Amino acid sequence: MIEAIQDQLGNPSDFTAETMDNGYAKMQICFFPGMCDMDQLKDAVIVPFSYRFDPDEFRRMLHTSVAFMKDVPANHLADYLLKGYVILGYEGEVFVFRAIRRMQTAPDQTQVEASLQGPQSAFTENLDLNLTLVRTLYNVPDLSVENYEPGNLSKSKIVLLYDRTKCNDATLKEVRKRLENLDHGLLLSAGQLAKHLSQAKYRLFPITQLTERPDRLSMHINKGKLAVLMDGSRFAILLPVHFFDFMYAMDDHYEPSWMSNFMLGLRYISMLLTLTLPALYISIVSYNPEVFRVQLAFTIDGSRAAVPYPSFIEVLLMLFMIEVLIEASLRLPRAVGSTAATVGGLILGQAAQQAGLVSSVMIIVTSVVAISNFVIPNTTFSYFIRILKYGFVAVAVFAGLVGVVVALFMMVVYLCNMRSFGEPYFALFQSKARVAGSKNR
Amino acid sequence: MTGKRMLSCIVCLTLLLVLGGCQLKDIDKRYFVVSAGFDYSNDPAKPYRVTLRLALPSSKVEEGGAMSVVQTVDAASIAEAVRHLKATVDKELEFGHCREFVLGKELVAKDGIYNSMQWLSRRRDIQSVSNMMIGDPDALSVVSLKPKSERYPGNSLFLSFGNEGTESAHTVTTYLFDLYRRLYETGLDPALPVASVFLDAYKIDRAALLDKNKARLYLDPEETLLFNMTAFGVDNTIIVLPDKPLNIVLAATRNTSSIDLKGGSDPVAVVNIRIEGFLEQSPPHLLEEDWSGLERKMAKHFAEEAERMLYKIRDAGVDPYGFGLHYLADRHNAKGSWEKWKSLYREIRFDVRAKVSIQGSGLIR
Repeated sequence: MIEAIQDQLGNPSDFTAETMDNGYAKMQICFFPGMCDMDQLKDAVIVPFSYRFDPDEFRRMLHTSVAFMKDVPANHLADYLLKGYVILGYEGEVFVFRAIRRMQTAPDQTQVEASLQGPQSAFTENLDLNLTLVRTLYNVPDLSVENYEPGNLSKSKIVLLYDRTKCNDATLKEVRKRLENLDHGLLLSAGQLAKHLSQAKYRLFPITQLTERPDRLSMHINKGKLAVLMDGSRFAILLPVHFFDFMYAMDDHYEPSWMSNFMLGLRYISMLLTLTLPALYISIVSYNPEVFRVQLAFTIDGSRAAVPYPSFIEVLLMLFMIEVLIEASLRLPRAVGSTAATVGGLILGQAAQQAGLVSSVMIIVTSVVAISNFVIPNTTFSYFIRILKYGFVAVAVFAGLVGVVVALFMMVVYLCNMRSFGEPYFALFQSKARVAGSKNR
Repeated sequence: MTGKRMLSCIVCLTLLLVLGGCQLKDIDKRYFVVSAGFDYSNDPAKPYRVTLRLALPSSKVEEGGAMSVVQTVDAASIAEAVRHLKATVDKELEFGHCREFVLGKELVAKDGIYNSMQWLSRRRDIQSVSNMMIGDPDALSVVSLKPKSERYPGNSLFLSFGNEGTESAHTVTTYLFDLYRRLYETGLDPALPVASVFLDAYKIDRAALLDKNKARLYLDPEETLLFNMTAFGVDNTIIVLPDKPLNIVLAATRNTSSIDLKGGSDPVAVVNIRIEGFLEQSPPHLLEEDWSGLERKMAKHFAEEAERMLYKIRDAGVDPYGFGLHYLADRHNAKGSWEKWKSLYREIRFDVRAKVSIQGSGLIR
């Protein structure tokens, strides 16, 4: 047995394959020490086999304990080894023992979706722990968990979660089909999986939502929707989602409703601002200066006097700078990050205006665009908005204010046309009738 | 993205840069016209003298910091004059922020407002909420005045109208859209404020009443106040009751007026007006003596004055109140009813029903 496995694995140096002999019996054992929990292996196998060896008891233990699997096909043994299982050969029989080393034992702190007063625990990169977190929050017997193991290189375990009594059958069928047909070289993160699940590559808005918060996931499942968890990723995929789901922070459910409604309004205004402000700047400066008050017209006129290039080059220049700045502060180590912000934000902005490259109003526009983009609670969604903004800029360059208005209209039409796994994406109200209908089916 | 698509994208983006040389007129390549004046030049070949006040923008807005230049040209029509003016400036003329149009007194007397209105209402960049006025003695003097108190060019004149800055009851506010409506509406005639230069400021305390084209009657400041109160119901006015040694003055804070026609074939034009306010000036303890008597006396005095003004307006043959429109709207619009009204209006009697209510003396006992 050992030879066959060693042949298959190519005898790597981090692999241990031994034949143990305690004087009474022999046992073949092979495992990856790095991937196995050595304490568990010692307690469950080594001690009974060596110090307290009793042939009858040992045989009985191997055959009855749930920790040992028997009758595993020979060609799958290598797969189990690679996941951190231990393979034992005893008396001509092969047993597989689960001794996977667990890196994490406690839930993570929230990092991306911070909450002021809500739960602070987030998903980890360990699937079992994640399932525990979900089960604790959504403690009902109707919670279904389905395992999927795609036939790809990383073979990460994927789990589909839903509430049996509440979920929509059509959506469930569709998602199951897509999960079964998953076949991709390396599947490394939930974001990648979400991309594969949503299929169309050039969509303008995300149709799945990534979250690190178990409370968000529980709430989503409670609404009759589905969630996908993946081993090795601390993000869960929620689907199907609506446009408006992205604008909710979990705090909205925990804070007084006056405050949360106000914040919600603030977020929508911010989203519109970050989407249209550069385009509006171009169209007002270059096409329709009569739109705003005469004071502002004169101020912009005066501050633009030193700027040599047309407004859209000014806008593209500043947007480029701010995007570079955001990207740089994201990739830099934390200690250097604040330096980048200081250099970029303060010095560059001030100097660019004094050098006459951009107008002072443009600096304000840029900062408003950058800041309001961060107000959007969901990172994926804010990325999409960040990109969409350039579409509006392009339209404004050629068609001015009318173009921006038409583009906004087209965006709404596009949103109305979109479906997230069969559910209307831009639906303001969730269709209760349909959810109820699916329950009766 | 394949290499080819990437390349075509890059080419398209590079083409964007070339746009800088195109006809993209940025805000700094435009000259903002802040006020425009039209005069009569006394030259039959080029009767229109167009004066534009162009703003020189600065990024700092401060008192007295307004800079502007004034350009004048004579031409056969306003449209031609504006085209010609473009040759004398270095940037594109932008009328989007021009909210003041001044028509010279002579132009209104000789050519009328009709031709100017044609140009004003056809240009798409001229706002319908622009203020219209008559310049006395000419538009040039009004447009070219640069008051020291201006924060930015054209601001001072703009603030004089409506409720933007000062709320003077002597100033009649007429917007372009309203003037256009009154020009074409049967039975409703236009009224325009008259602006003149007084020291280093504008004086807009008179009104001109026009028929469909030319000025028929210029009201003096006292009549303008009465006209503004009865026709437009402006608030924040005063009523004066002559008295010895000091006049009694009521500061009106609320003022509502409406017109009506009473009587069938021989109608009486009724102007209802309600005025509320407090006494700004009076002998001591006047209210305790006879509160309602004083109210009645003030109302009677106001009605007499207003009626005198109304008869004056009637005799000038104009109808800025819209009595004619009211007459046509009230009755079955048979053929000849407009002609009938015209003969009726010449002899019509007015009845001003004023109701003054004094809220107090403004003093705390």
